[in-house]
Amino acid sequence: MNGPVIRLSVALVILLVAVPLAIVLLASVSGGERLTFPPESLSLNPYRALIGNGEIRAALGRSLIVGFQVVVLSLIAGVPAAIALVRFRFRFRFPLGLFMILGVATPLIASAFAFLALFTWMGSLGSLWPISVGITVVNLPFLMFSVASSLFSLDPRLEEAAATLGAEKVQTFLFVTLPGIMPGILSGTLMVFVLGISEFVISLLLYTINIQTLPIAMFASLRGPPPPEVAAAAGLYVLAAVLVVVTLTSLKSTEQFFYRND
Amino acid sequence: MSAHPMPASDAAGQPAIVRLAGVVKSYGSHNAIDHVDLEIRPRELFTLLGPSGSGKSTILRAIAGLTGIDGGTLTIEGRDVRDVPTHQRNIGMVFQSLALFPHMSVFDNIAFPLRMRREPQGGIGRRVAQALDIVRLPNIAKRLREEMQLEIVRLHREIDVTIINVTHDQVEAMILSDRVGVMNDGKLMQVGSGETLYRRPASRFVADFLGRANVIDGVLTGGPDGPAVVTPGGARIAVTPERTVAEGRAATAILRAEDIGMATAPASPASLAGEVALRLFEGETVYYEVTAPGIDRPVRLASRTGEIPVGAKVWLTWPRDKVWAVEAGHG
Repeated sequence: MNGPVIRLSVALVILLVAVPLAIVLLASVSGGERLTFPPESLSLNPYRALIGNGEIRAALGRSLIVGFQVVVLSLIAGVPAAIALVRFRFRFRFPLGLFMILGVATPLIASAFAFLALFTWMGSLGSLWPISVGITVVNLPFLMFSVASSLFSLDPRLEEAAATLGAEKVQTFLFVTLPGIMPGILSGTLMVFVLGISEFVISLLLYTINIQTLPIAMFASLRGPPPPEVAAAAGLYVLAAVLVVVTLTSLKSTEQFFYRND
Repeated sequence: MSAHPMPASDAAGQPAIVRLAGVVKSYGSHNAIDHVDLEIRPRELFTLLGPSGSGKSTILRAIAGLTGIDGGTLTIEGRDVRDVPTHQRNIGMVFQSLALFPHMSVFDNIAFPLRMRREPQGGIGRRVAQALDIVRLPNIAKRLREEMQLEIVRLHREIDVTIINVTHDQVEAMILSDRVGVMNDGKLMQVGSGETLYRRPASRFVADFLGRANVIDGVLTGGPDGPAVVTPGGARIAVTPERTVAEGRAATAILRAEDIGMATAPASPASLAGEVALRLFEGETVYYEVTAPGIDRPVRLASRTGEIPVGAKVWLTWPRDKVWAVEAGHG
């Protein structure tokens, strides 16, 4: 089983992961007026086209707004929820935990349909915030898992020690718990931000024509021959993903440095 | 103050600074703290000693307010602290894991309690410097653990605080403490100085837990030669004439390994005959196990010379006033 077989399968996986990334990045720097693959020449034209296209630029702006709204909502809901589920013993703790992660397990199209029905009934369609709320609900577990894993590695005796040293509950949280779970909060925040700026299914059902987010705008423009700015937008997404992965890896090592268990 | 009962005084005549009366803490049907009465005197270094799971840490956590109690009363400086949260109990606790704040500098770790108690900023810097001065003892990294323990004793005398220590290490308990409380299965078995616990244990458990003791069950019998515990097999273990057990009662003789002398000829008619079964060189002393007729377990003893080989026929003797007897089945 070892040796060549494993090496071959690893190579295959690397190839499968790399090919779409390579195609996107390569296409985003193609020369020519129209998008071809493989590109005949290299240039930054697609990115210039992206900046020049007001509609795509506005969609990018909306996606960033959605990303920030998702981050704020996720932090408000997810951090206290993760702390409660990990640290407190209360009735229905386990079923509640399962319920909170149901959002990520439910098929997106089903959740999206539910949000469409809800926000239509509320008459809220046409603004960005219903999209942000929907994305937050389905992606909240990513932030909660991240915060929870930080909490698990945080020695609960640190909080007890703080109390014996005269710290009130609020002070213990601010000066001991919060700095301790900060790596988890940061990595969870990055994750839900990237998921927020790139979300498609919920946005597709909840958008109206004047609040297209970037993924919707890209999808819409792909009905004809693909314009170069779409390749640039896809390239931006890949770069954002790379940035997040690199940041998360360095956070992980920071966490291990600060919170290694003796 | 008149609303509060006066703090009870202990044998030393000082009011207790921490007082537990009938304290119970249960987890399901198991009592982690089982009706414990305990008084800690001001400025003493008190150690709770016991095997793991005996409830010593639970008592410490209850005093700190990290664990609630299910029964009895707990007072600190005469005040019932049932509803006083940890941060208002004016205590400090050192955890076995140290529980240093990993995201803070050494300075911030030391300054933490001062800041929490809203000390003025200037004073904090000065006091942290003092704390660091204590740490900067000569060759601190090279100091042995034992020397550090002595350092704690010295510091305790200088800084005028009450310390409650928890350990399963009986040597540490005896070296450090003014008084020791021995715990077993949630119960406080005995409280006293290390020497008292060692020389005059109130129960078989305490005798067994501190040091290397031979605990030999039998019946306390009188006689012209003085009292002895006579085993079912007929061996006579001469014990102290101090009466702790009534004649004719089941009793346990506690014979310390270091109090037993061994010779290859009978030193007196009271000598116990036996045969060397095991000899282990331990450095300072040589550890022996001697099988003797009438005693089911081999007698353990420590010899300074250790020249007697395995298989030799030997006679054991001991000063009878060093051999304590407790009522059998008492712990």
